[in-house]
Amino acid sequence: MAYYNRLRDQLRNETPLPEELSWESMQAGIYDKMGQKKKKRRMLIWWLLPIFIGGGIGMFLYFGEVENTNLPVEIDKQNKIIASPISKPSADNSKENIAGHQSTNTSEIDSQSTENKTEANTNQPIVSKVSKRSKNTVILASDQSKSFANQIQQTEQTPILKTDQINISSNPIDIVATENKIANQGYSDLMNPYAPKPYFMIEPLTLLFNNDLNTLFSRTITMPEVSATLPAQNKKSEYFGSMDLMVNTGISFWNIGKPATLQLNSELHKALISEKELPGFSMAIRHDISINKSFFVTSMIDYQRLYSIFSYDGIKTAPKQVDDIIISIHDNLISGEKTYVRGTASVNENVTRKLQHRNEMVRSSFSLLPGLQHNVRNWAFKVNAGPTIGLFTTGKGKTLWNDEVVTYDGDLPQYNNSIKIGFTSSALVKYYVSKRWFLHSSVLYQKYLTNHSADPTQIIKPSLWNISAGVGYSF
Amino acid sequence: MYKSCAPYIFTIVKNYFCYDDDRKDALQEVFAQIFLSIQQFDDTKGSFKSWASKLTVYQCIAILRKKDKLQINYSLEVVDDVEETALDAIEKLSVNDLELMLKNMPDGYRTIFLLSVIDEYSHKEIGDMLGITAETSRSQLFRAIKWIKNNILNKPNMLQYGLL
Repeated sequence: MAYYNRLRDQLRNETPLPEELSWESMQAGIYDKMGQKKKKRRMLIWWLLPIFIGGGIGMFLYFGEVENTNLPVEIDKQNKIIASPISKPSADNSKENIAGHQSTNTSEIDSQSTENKTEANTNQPIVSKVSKRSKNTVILASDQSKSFANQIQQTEQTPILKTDQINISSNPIDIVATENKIANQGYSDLMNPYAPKPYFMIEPLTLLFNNDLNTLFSRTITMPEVSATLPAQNKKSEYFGSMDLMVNTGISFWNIGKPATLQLNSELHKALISEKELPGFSMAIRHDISINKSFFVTSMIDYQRLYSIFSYDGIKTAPKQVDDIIISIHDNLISGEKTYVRGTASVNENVTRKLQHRNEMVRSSFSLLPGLQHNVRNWAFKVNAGPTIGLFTTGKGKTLWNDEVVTYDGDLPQYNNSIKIGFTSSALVKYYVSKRWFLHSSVLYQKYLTNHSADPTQIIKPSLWNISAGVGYSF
Repeated sequence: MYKSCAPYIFTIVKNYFCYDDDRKDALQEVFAQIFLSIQQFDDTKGSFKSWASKLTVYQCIAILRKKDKLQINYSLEVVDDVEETALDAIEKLSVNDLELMLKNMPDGYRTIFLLSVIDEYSHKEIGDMLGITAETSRSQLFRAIKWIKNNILNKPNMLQYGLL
């Protein structure tokens, strides 16, 4: 090892810096690299930002909506529960309560009811606890010496919702009545009618569980008596048939669906024709009907007003017949008389034309779009896709038709009369500003699959991107 | 700070890079990183010199990685027994020769050799730095030593005449 120590010493032996590595010659490079590194950090933040946002949304969705179906039920009679109360309801807590409540299916209700009766006879309080993470329900039996009523009375030291109006007793019937009262009073700040609704607002109790405060994930304690007496929620009936009616307007970026430029190079017609799309606007009436919590169907009628610039720059040669023109002159050299012979002649006329015209197209379509939706509090996210059928297309402008620049006002000469079928997909987000009214914004893509062209040698399949916003009402 | 630290940091940098341009570039990178990270230095955890040297090593590895010069051959070789023996064999070289030899070593081998033998990082630490397992690090060191034996011990004249 002495050998390597010597080697180490030798390699680590400080030597004077070469001249080219002096501070004066290095500082510019160092500052430059510092700038690059800072830029990289900033870029990293911009990359991380959407990841964090996405992760946040994912966690929010995961933890925000817990569906505890068929939860395993365990009974632990050894752990002591000291219940302490409860404050004003919050959205999170409400959601947890919902989770706990909705998780109880009919069979569980029955079994819990039976247990409750048993426990009530032995004067043992039962409190159910819902852990969001584990999605497990644990029914804990508390200290034998403490009755459920006693615990509740303890909780009354801090107001439970509007405790001046609500008097909670140990009687399960009273508890249910209380709960219904709370539910009727609508203490939900969840404005989205499709979002899970709180049915009762028994607040999460803070558990002292093995001297450990189980409040990290806001574990909720609900009372099985309450759950047992409430009707099981039928999610399908809750969502089925609920409707949204929306109107929106937005900006559209469309594609004519044919080559942007056309060059004619025939003997009689040389021209460069182009049609460039301009942004347009659109309006739509959209009706969404929910099938269940996740699925819905949209029927939508949209109205689009789209613009384009038509350009023509060409020379057209056309033979022209001219009547009553002098076609020959007979000159009598002896008499000096001149005779003019008139007749009809054909001449080539070159017409040079250069024009630009703003065309306007109006079209309407009907779409039927099944999709998926997700409701979180007063937000809802929807994506859907489906077929579209064109209802009408009219326009006003100029176009090249049959080798001529023609003016049209009404039907587009270059479009055929067949049914126009396409495909539409959209993503929508809506935000409830009140219980029924909401604002929404959407991105839509529409692509026609059938050929619009009246000329069978040409293919016209327009497409369109649309960004819009509007208001809606939930029924 | 540059004037006081640069000589020491340069001794580390010059072992990892053979060419002057690379060394200069690396030195700039290291000081840029030091200036940017100086707030993270905690004098209760150690001296500035050790913090700076660690940062220098990490930065050198990052540069080598960026330049794709760290070619790690992932092979499963059991080298526990032979490592000590192989290191002993190198001791036949003079220290000056070994220093000269390091300049000619492939970057991957030299990096592992420096990290393990000179900077005295454990194979686990090396593995963490290079994103490899401790076993691979050990294997790489064995290969580096083997390279020295093959290229130096068996060809002493080449080293002597600077042909290697």
